[in-house]
Amino acid sequence: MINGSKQKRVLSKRRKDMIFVACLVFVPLMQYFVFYICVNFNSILLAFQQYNIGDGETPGRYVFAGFVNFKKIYDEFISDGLILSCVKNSLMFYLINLVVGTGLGLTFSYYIARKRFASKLFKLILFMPSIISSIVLVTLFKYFANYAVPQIINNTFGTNVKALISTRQTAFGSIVFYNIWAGFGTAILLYSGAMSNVSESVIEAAKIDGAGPVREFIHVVLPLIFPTFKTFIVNGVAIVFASDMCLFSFFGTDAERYLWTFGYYLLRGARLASLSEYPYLAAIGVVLTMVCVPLTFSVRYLLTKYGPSID
Amino acid sequence: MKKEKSKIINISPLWIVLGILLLIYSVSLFVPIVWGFLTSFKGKLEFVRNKFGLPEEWMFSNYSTVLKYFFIPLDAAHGLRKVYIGEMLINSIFYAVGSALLQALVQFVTAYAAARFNFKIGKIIYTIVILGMIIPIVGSEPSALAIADALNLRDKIIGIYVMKSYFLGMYFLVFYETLRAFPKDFAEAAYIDGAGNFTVMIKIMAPLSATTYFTIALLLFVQFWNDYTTPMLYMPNVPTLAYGLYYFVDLSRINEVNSQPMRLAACIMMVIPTLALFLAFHNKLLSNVTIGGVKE
Repeated sequence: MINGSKQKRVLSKRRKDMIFVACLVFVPLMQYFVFYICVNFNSILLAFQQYNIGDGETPGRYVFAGFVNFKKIYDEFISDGLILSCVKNSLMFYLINLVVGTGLGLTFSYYIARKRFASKLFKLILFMPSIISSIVLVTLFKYFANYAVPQIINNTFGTNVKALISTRQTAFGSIVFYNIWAGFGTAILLYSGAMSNVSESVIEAAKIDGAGPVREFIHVVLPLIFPTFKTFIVNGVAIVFASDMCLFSFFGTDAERYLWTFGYYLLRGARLASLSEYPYLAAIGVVLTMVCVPLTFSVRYLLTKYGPSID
Repeated sequence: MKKEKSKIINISPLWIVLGILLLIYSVSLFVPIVWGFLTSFKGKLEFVRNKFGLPEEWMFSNYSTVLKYFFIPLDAAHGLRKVYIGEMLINSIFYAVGSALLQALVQFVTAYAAARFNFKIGKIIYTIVILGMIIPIVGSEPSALAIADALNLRDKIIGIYVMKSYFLGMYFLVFYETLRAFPKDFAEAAYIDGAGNFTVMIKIMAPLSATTYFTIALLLFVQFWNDYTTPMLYMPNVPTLAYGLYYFVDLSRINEVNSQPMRLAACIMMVIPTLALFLAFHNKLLSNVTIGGVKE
């Protein structure tokens, strides 16, 4: 009898919990359904459609068009060179950022986590670009690189240097430099946070074994923070074709075509495109997603399999 | 004394090199900002011949001129309507504060359901978040715009709130880890005293998570305050300060402000509130969030 009433109470509590959880997650899940599932499903549908402009009586509407948009992408890939240039720029940007940006980010974070001279101040300064609007920082950097730097070089070395952001030879390099220079913020915060959690006794043990800071970093700290590092790398691959390299902040919709990345191509398209151009942009998105998904999962698999072990 | 000496000798060259690199980086960060600040006081003609030096004549009036011409012209039913800095400021406050509070709230509530109750839906939500972070979806913007149009959410602050109130993203994980870390006894004692689930969440768990909530809301606020692409795409007729600045710097062709010093003056004006907020709350912003949870 007592057991029965206890069971009843547990069941009633479980039912109340269930109703409460359902109330909490209902609205967020609806939001997710409309703005993630439906948006992406609609994106796939759009990729196979074309916009028929209506006449006076019938309004314009999207109609099924098979693989027309994909064929257009293929044709442009062969003839135009723009898509190839976007692939090249997106990948180059990712790789340079990965090697230089992540390398510097990790070493700077190590310095901060080991609480060396002025580490708190450096952490504050490294995070600062993240809180300044990209349009502000880009404008300051752009004008400085276009007007001040050439004048300094001309006055100091007598060499004639043109505006760095507006000259073909220096534009891509300068913009990649900007992205690394202004992009340490979150990485520094999370890497140094993870490094600070490495037990002092492990570091001490490594020191007793004769490890210097470099060996300590490579053989002790890096393996221990590898999950954080892996998260960053995997997320980086996932957005390799989504990053606009801040080109929109630098040039608005007028960036030179040789600088374009896919992220910029799509953002510019979303800003300027009419209803009839949405399907083509959606098709590019579908193609890029199909390339990115296996790439991301492969990188994740390789890092999990061959990444350093804590042992 | 001896100990101090040995400490100095033991400093590895690596730390010295890194310290110097960080110092160079820090200086490099401030140089364009200081240069921009000084240039913002120059006249248009002076800038042509004196790009790097101090202003010969300090043009404080640049700032009042910027304030006068900092507007976005919009098509309205009765002709052209100019949206000035005051209206943009109000739009920015509504957009950034509302979106930050709502998104943090939705992430807290969803993480609470997933972390504190043992139901399948919690595991499903956790998996959705992880998959959302690693499955790249590229180029869904046109589709999102089409759906926003279909639901009549464009050009409305409420519409943006609805679109920004999602639980996906890293901050869900931060809330999830934080809420899971609280011992069960806290809630159990309240349940025994007759408290319901809602009371436990509001009166016990929410105050315990207040620091985390505040930090995440602050990080989101800065992100939304600086975001100009969302207002540009989804509410071009309700412009925010960030979008206004983009328009002023890139698109405005008014003669009086069509010069580098004027544009830099606008940038400096916009950066001051964010920097002040950052300096006031940097301890919270920089010390609390880690990817595996929040250090208290």
